[in-house]
Amino acid sequence: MTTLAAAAQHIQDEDLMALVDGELTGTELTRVEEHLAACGQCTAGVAALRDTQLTLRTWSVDTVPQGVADDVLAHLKAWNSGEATAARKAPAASRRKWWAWGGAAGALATGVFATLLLVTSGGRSSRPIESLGKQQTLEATVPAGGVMAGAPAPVKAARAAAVDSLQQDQAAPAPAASAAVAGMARSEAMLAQPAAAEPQRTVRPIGGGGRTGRPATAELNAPMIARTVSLSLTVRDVERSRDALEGLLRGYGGYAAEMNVSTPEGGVRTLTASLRVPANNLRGMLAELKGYGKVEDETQSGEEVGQQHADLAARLNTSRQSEERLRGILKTRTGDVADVLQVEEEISRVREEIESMEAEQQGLEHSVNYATVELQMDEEGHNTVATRTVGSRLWEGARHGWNNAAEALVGLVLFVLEYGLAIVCVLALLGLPAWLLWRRWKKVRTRR
Amino acid sequence: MNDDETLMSVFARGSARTCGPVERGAAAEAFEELFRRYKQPLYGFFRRRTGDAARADELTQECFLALLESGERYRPTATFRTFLYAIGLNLVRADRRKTVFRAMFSGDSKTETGSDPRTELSLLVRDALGRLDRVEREMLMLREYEELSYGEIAEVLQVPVGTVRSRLFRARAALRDVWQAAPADPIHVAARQGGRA
Repeated sequence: MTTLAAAAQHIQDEDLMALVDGELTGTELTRVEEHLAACGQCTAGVAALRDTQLTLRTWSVDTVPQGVADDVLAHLKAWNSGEATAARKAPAASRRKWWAWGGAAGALATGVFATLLLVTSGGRSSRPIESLGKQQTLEATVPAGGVMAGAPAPVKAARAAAVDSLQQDQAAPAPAASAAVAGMARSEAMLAQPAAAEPQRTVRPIGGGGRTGRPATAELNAPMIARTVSLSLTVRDVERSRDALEGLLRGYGGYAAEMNVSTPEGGVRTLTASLRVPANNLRGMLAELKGYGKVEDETQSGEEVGQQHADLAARLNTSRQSEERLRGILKTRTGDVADVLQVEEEISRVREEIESMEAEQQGLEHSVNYATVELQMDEEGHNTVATRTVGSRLWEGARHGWNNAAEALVGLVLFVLEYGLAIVCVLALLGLPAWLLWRRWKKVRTRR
Repeated sequence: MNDDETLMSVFARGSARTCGPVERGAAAEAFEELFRRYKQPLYGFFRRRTGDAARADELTQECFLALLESGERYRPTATFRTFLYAIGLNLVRADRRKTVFRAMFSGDSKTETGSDPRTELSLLVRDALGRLDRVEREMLMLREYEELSYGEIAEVLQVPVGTVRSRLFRARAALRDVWQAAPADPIHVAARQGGRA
């Protein structure tokens, strides 16, 4: 009982340590001192702590070298006189130097990176621009008349020169283009049906439309604009609007090159049509067309094809002259049979080129005489999405969600399959040295 | 005689760019007095924490020059000793990082911190301290060699006072364990050498 009471009254070791370190004050100090006067065990504990303390303090060091004191006092003197201290100046200069080098390296790296980025993105962006340009050219040179443009002008000019010199040039594109022209002309005729004959009559001969001679200068200077209008309407009844549209086309001497009516499930009924309208009647017809419903979107554009037409006319003229010269050679018949056959073949080839170019010329004129109207009509009040029940919408949402999740999972798996190995390789390349450095670092720290 | 904090305040006032020559002169005198008082403790601080006497010289000089330049940043809320040893500790940490970094690439594993012990007892003490946890060793050294109070240690190491107390106790207990396990107990060696007079 006495032992337990005495143990309960012993001073805690941390308090004994605080006493040795001089951290106890006031009543706490008094309490501990009184206890120590009566307790041999705690006194022994304090003595052990003091032994440890004294032993630790036997680790003495030599006195500070006089050089250190002299240096510091010299700097103090310089500081007092307002000068920057030499010892501090040097590290500062050194730091500045490092900063300068670091900055230069950073700027260089940024420059290289930016250049790479520009070059890479420039390479990427140039392709869409080129393809866009091609697309525009194709759109412009596939006129409503269904005549396709041939090769670019410089190539054509070179071919014309070849014809003039009567060289054997087995150029395949000419017959191919001719066949394409014939095919497209047939399909156009099928599409146009009743109005097919009408455009032929209404073609306004522009710039050398005849079979001979270059176009007149005045005609050349006259602008040749191929107009295209894109119109989007919302109408009450698509069927009724379609009937009205056909009547409108007849009235203005136009025709529908293409017309589709679609009624998707749960969507709006839509009519899309590609119309050809005489350029002079375009404004009047558009005004009436807009009266069918609400205009959602309207875009008008025009492309100048005068230069293209003039170039075509010039080449046509040259080809015709070549044909006349060849026929003159055939009439003289001064060579043997083989020469005669060769000349006839050449005449046949030039004739095909001429017909191809004439078709192309007519197509250009057609695109100028007949404007294109790309029409879209959406029926209002047929959007069944709003009328569906909440349950069906929830079900549809869940179905879409499931599909999206499955798609994402498949995408993830595909990504891992495609790039996983490469990522592992890169991580191994970067991670292995980092791990080795870290291990070395840990080892050095442990030694400390 | 002025205390450290008063001297440091005089020096801080004289460090301001707008002060006149009289204040600057007083600041220089205050700094000189502080240098006289702390050159040996600070040298000991670095000498026990670096393995190289030349590095201890450089760090001592560097620390006083840092103090010379940072007088304006001193706030009277901290004691001068905590301010000075906090600078010193930052320099030691930076020096250790450099040493470890150099050792990583040069393969030189001589990164020990203690100074060359001049006696058998010093060797035993240094080795025993080297076996302690890094933070606990730092606390014990600040307490025993720099004679900082618990509050000052807490301020320098940015930890609560209670933590300082408990970890100091743990460090001392660990030190006793190390000594008792050693073939030559430093306390007995000290008694033999009469070091505990």
